[in-house]
Amino acid sequence: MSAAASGDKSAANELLPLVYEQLRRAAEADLRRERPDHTLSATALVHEAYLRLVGPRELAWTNRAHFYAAAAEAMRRILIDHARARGRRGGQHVRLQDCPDFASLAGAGAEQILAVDEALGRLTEQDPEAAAMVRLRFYAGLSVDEAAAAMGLSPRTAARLWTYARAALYRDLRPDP
Amino acid sequence: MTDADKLLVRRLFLQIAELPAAARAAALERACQGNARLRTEVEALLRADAEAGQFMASPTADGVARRAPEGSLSSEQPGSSIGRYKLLEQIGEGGMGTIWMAEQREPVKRRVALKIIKLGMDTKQVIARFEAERQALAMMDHPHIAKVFDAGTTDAGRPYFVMEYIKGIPILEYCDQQKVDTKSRLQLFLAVCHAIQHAHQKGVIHRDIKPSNVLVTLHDGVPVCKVIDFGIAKATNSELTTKTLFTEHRQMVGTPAYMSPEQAEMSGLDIDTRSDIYSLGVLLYELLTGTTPFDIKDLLAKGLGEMMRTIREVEPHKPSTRISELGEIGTRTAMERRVDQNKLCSLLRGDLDWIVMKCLEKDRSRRYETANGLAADIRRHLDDEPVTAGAPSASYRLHKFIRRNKVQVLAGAAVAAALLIGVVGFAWQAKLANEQRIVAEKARESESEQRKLADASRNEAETQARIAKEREAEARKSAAEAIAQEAEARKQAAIAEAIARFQTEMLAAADPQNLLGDTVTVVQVMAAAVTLLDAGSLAEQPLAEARVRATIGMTLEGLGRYDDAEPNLRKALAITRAVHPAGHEDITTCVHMLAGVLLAQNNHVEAERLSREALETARAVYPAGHPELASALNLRSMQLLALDKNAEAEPLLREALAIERQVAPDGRQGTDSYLDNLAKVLWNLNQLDEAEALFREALAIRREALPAAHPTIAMGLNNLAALLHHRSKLTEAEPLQREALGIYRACLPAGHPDIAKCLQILAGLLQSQGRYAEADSLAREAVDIDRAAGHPGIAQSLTRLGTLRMTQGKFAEAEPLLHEALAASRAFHPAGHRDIATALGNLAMVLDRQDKYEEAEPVLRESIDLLRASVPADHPHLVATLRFLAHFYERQGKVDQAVPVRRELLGSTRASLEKDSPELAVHLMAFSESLITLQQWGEAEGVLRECLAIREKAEPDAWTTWNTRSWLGAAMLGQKKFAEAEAQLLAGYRGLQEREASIPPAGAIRIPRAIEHLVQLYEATGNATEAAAWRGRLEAARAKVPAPGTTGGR
Repeated sequence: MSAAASGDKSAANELLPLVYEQLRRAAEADLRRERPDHTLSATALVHEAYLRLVGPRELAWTNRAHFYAAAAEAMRRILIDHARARGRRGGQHVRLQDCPDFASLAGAGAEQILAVDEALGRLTEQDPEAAAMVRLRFYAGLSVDEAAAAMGLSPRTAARLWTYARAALYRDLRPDP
Repeated sequence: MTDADKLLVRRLFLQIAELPAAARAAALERACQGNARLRTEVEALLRADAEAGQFMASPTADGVARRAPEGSLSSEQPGSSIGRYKLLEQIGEGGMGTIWMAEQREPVKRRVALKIIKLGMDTKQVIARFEAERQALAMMDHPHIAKVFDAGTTDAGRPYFVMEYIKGIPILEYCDQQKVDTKSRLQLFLAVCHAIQHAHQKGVIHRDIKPSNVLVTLHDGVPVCKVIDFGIAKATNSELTTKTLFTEHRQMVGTPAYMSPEQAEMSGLDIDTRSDIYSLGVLLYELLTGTTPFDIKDLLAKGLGEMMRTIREVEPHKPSTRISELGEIGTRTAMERRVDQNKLCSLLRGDLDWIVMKCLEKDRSRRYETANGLAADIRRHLDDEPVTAGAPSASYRLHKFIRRNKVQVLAGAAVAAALLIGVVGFAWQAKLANEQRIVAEKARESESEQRKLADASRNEAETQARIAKEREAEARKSAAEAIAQEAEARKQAAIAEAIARFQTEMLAAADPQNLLGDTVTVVQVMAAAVTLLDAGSLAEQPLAEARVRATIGMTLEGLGRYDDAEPNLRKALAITRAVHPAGHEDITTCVHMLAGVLLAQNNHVEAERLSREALETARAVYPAGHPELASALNLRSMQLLALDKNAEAEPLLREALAIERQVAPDGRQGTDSYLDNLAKVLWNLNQLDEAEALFREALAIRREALPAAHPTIAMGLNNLAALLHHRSKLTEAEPLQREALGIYRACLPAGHPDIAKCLQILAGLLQSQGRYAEADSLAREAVDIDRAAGHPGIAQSLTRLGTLRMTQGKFAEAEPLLHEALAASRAFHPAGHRDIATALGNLAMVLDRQDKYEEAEPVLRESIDLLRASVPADHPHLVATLRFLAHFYERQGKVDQAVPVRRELLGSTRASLEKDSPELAVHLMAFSESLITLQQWGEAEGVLRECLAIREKAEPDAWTTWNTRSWLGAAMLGQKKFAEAEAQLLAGYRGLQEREASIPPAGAIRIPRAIEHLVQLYEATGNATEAAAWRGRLEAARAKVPAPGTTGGR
């Protein structure tokens, strides 16, 4: 992990498969159940993955930041895969306004999940910082403070950035007026 | 938009969003100052913000609860109320929350226990789930179960549960404090079992059985157990998964030591009652030994992933073993049970060990089905009746042993496979006996170890990317497979049913204690399963089919039915290759098994290809030091060993062994078979000291890990005994060999080839000790067995019987046996294999003894050609055969043919002997005599000088040395170097004469020979007087020679 902390990009890349594997297994178990009340929580999953890979030791925040970045990416992929696998079969069409968290989006229709992902891609191009915020908060389930630490921002700046990011993303997604 | 613009938009948006709605329009107008673009952007964002609703509103579902630091909510204080309960005193704190003693006010006033959960869980969900269980919980009414009355939510939004208040202490503490002895502990435990049984019957699984959930309270001075916390685990979804193991501070709480393997799986496998059985087993373990099966500190230190793997895969020590290991702690433990340590150990050994370990089986289908079953066995133990747990000890242990082998990997077809194992339990023993095999003279060994290490590679990014891609593909597939799983389970149940029907019909009469069973019946069962599979009953779940077929294939292989096994294993391999990415452990499993069968069938070409591919794949996919790699190395080595390519095999095995020692330092998990294999290779390379040490080590490991009468131990015994025999340590070898035979006879069906092998090896031992009659009957039995079964081992048993007959002087009987042995060797070995050379040599020997020289010669020559091609020049086998051939020619007087052989022999022995070794002198002497017979004086002289030099230094006073001198003289004579010839001949003669007494009868001709040369000398130099004198002495000397035609000593 410390290699990742030193900003080494390849080290962060190394993390991804490890993280992905852990998250995939855990997420899968939950996603498979597909009960309306399923408790898939990105936070819980990511923290589990953290524990699995890092163990109970505490790490410096910069290292954790890298971990969470990788975890966010992994969760995003899991969601996409889940959507694609479901195909036309499953998932109800829900209003995006009714999706406060990862779990609820996971229950949405495949097209919606993919639409959110595409919008995130566009946001990444236009405003990478905002997009990073979305990833950390939504996919990795970090709190505002935790995301602030991960991105090297003050909590207040992070809070404001989050408000903006969310609006920017939704703006891309909402039905045309 | 430029970056500056973007920033501006963002800032503006945020500013204005904070304003009350009414003020926004004006503020926006002011800020944008006519910049329409800016304004559009900000407006769009403002609109989006307003309409987003709940979109991504609370991405951390438990964020609220997490942000609240511990203890800041002050509503939980003594004296405060929660619903109709008044908190009195906090009595405990667990990972999940706090436990209070409380007072219920209505409808009834009583003391209760109130547990408040505070892990930031979704309260509605928790309560909802609890409601679902509440019906069942309400129906539970048992003296040993604490009742759960109620559930609700505190004002702060935390869920709580209300339970019967038990004033007691956890069972372990109680027992240790009161120094309760083992018997009484067991009786307490029985109560717990009954409680759990009651719950299970009501459909409630506890899911969180651990010592702190079993309280002991005193009723009138009598200790009574109470199990608490039923239903809570499920409701809070804290079923001992990792989700319980973190709090907002991401510290680990709770202990995973009681987690069952399926709970550690985290794969969504349904937890059933047998998970409770496991936890009961852990509790029992702790009651008996004072520690948990896995050391808690150890587990925590490993990190979560490793901890889970340990729980899932590592076999814990038996309770009795644990006690004996504990040292000081063990003393204290024993004291807490009112015995001394040794007594405790012996108390536990046997029944209690078995009972506990049965609860702790990784494969839940092997545990007790019910808590009652567990209780019944404990009661039987207490009453000194035989318990059911340990009875089929061999197959039980066998199963353990199999677990360490990749068979357990196939437990995906858990139902079918487990049932097959259960049905054909003894077949696994046979399978195991055969499992370690290669087609070599020494033994066949084919065990390979599979471990489920789900580590991603840490090498180059490329490997990473590849694996990541594979995982993605797998993830996609898994979603589809998940649906298929239910159907799969149904199909497997159908197969299991079919097999169960066969089992009932065909094995009903069999005594379950009789492990021999009926081979044919098992084969019928297998055949029925194959028929089902061929009919496509698992066609839609190829992986399931692959696994069942692999299991069938292995079972059949274990019974020696290689031809039946092969197509099933091929199919299994084909399926797994089609379904999995390269390097997947299922593929490796199938490759190993198929290679093993091919070796057994002597299909060396294909086995070779498979093992080579397997190794290449393993090297490509796994990092150095990975156990999978060790397993592939081992397979490849065995392949090479089968082809007698020992020099190639050695480094591979050493590498595999190094890996094993690193990965499993306790040496138990497969190191023994690598040791065994390496020992065989070294034996072939004639490094006998190390080979013996390795055999011993392997045997020691097996004796340690397995019950006394285990086929694998028998194999180890065989190997060691064979080597000891080879090294002439006969008295040490015999008891080992007999023990091995005893084990085989006990474990295997009567006509099994391993019994034959064991018999003939033992026969050889007895033969070496001169006990021919005993040897004969054993050898004959071996031949009968092998002939009937048509196994490759027939070559060895025939050889054994044939050579035995030869030793008894019955050459005419021996000859056809050795002919047959040679034919069998040719049939079962690749051309050029050393065993064929051995068979040829034996045949030549028997022909030679019957003076059938013309028949013998080509046989002997073929043997030598073969050996020359396959072993180094100084190999004892080749040397011995050359010696034989040289002697063969000399006896027929074909000295000119003998000489080149002697020359070659000399070359070989020079390489392996010391320059001044007396043995070399012997060779030199023999060679020189042939040379002289051919009148090659010059070469003879050189050889003799060398020989003399050695002998003068090593044994100057031996008659042989003077004989050598005499012959040197003869060589000089032949070259007409008369002066020196005379000196040597005279000196030689005198030396011989002085030592006449020490010349053995066989060498009596030496003196006359020496005199002959002197006569020749004087005739040649024209010294008639001397010639005549010596002729006279010659007459006298000749008269002393006992009988003509004896071959002399050298």
